[in-house]
Amino acid sequence: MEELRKLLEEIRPDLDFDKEKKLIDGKVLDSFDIIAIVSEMNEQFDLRINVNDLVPENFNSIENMWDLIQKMQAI
Amino acid sequence: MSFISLTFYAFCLLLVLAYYLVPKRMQLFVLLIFNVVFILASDGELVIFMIITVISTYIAGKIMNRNDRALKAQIAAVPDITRAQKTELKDRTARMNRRLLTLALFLNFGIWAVIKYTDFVIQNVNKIGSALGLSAVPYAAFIMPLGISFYTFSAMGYLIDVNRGKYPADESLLNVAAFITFFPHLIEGPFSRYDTLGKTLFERHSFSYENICLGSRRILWGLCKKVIIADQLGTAVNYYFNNLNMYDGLYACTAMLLYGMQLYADFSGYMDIACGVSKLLGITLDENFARPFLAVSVEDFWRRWHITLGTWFRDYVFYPVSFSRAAQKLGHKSRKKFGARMGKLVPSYLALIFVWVITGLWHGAAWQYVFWGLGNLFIIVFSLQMKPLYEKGKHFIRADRHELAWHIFQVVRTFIIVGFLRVMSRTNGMMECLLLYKNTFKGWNVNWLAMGKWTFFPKMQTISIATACLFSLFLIIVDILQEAGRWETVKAKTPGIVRSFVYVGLITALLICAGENAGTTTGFMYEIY
Repeated sequence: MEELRKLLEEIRPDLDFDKEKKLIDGKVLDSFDIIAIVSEMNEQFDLRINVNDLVPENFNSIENMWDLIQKMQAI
Repeated sequence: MSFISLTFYAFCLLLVLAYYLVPKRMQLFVLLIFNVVFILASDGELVIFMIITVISTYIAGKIMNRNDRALKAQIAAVPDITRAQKTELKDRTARMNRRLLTLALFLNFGIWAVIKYTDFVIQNVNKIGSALGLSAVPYAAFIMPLGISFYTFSAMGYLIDVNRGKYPADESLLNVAAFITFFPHLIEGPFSRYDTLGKTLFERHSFSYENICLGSRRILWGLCKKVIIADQLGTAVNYYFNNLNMYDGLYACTAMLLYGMQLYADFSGYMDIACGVSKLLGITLDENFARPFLAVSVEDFWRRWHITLGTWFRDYVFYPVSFSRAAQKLGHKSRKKFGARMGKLVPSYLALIFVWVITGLWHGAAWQYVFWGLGNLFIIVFSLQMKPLYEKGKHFIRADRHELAWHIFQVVRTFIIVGFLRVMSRTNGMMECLLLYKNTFKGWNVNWLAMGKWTFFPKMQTISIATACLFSLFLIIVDILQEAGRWETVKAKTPGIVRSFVYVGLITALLICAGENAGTTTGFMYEIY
């Protein structure tokens, strides 16, 4: 999860990802942030996150994103 | 068959009767028959293009399903299959499905593009040719099949979703045909999604008095917008744009304002009728408008105007281009050179160029639409780039302490910017558009009060102007109340007798305006796309 936190902090250094739990629903992250985050996640964790996965349940918090990474790596 | 004709409402009445009288298992089939009748009555032999889309979409989806089933069988057949082997099999199936998808996209978008853009290409070829002394290529003058710009995108969105694994393809030809040919969304959208429209389209519905009331009210609301506002204002707007040279200053600005209201009332009025007709059958269409004139930025405007067009381009153009290798490489290079912020924005800027050029061309086969798209792109990118400076400036002038005033400023600013961009699609080319822009900034002199100049509305009676303006004001008030989340409360608290008077007033105004418009009413403005 540390790797993920570092990735997120590089893209949005102004956010405390441990505290934010409504990154999408609360419109804290915009579509440009999502694109940057997903691109880095795909590269660093060797994933194929696609448009279907871009739902609030997968990106509302760092825990949600980590769950998504683990789920995709298990497939 | 026009949505504002008596024939259409007789058609709808027959449909509602048939839909609820037949056994429920026959409802979708009955709906499909009525869809076909609607298309044949409106389009005749051009229905062949829709048949091609239905058949190719259905077959492509079925083959993708078969490929996916074969993949599962292959994996299950090897008990201790390794991860690498599984990946290889999955990649092979993905490549097959992608090729199939590409073929279907090429066929369907190809038909659409050839019909829509052949004469645009010929026009430009002829311009170059004439400079070289070559003879002109004759125009093809293809007739646009009804709704091709809408149903093609809906059908291809469905196939792309199947390919992405969002849901399996529907094995029922009836379902696929009913989805693509569903007549309320044919003429001006929305760009329906298979999974959202399908939720209610494929359900079996019992007669519901509530749905009939809700649907009828929505249809009435849409008709009022179209007949009382759009068609009334259209008379003045058309006169102004046919005599652009004669008016400047306040008149030019007024015409731009009226055009904006005309377009909103016309397009959203259509949507209300389409949603209302669907509601009569218990079917829910996606909403296409969310009070666009209350947007606080151009970006926000496009989340409120023609919403399903925006989300279609977001999901099927913006995200794929942003996630592409080329865009990501560009993003990495930008991050190294210009920092994290630019690294984040550059892939999106690249994707936005695609989105706005295609969106512009979708609206029309002419350079002014490309410039319109690029104009929107420029404003959005400029706003994104200036955001840090903008926030500092806002704090400096203490705008955060005067939220309402700041909000009003943002709304008015956005309205003006969008208005200036919008007229590009109304004028006959960029030169005329630039003349209009020039005219808005000159001629602001005291004579504008002279009544003679207001024969800008030559064919409109005073009562028509007053009715259109009064109803426009009513529409804006309803929008503001909806934005504030108070509209339902206001409706609930309004005494029944007052609501009855309002309905009677609306129907009376509708009938009077319909009578006045008889013979001059045109179709809906977005039909041409």
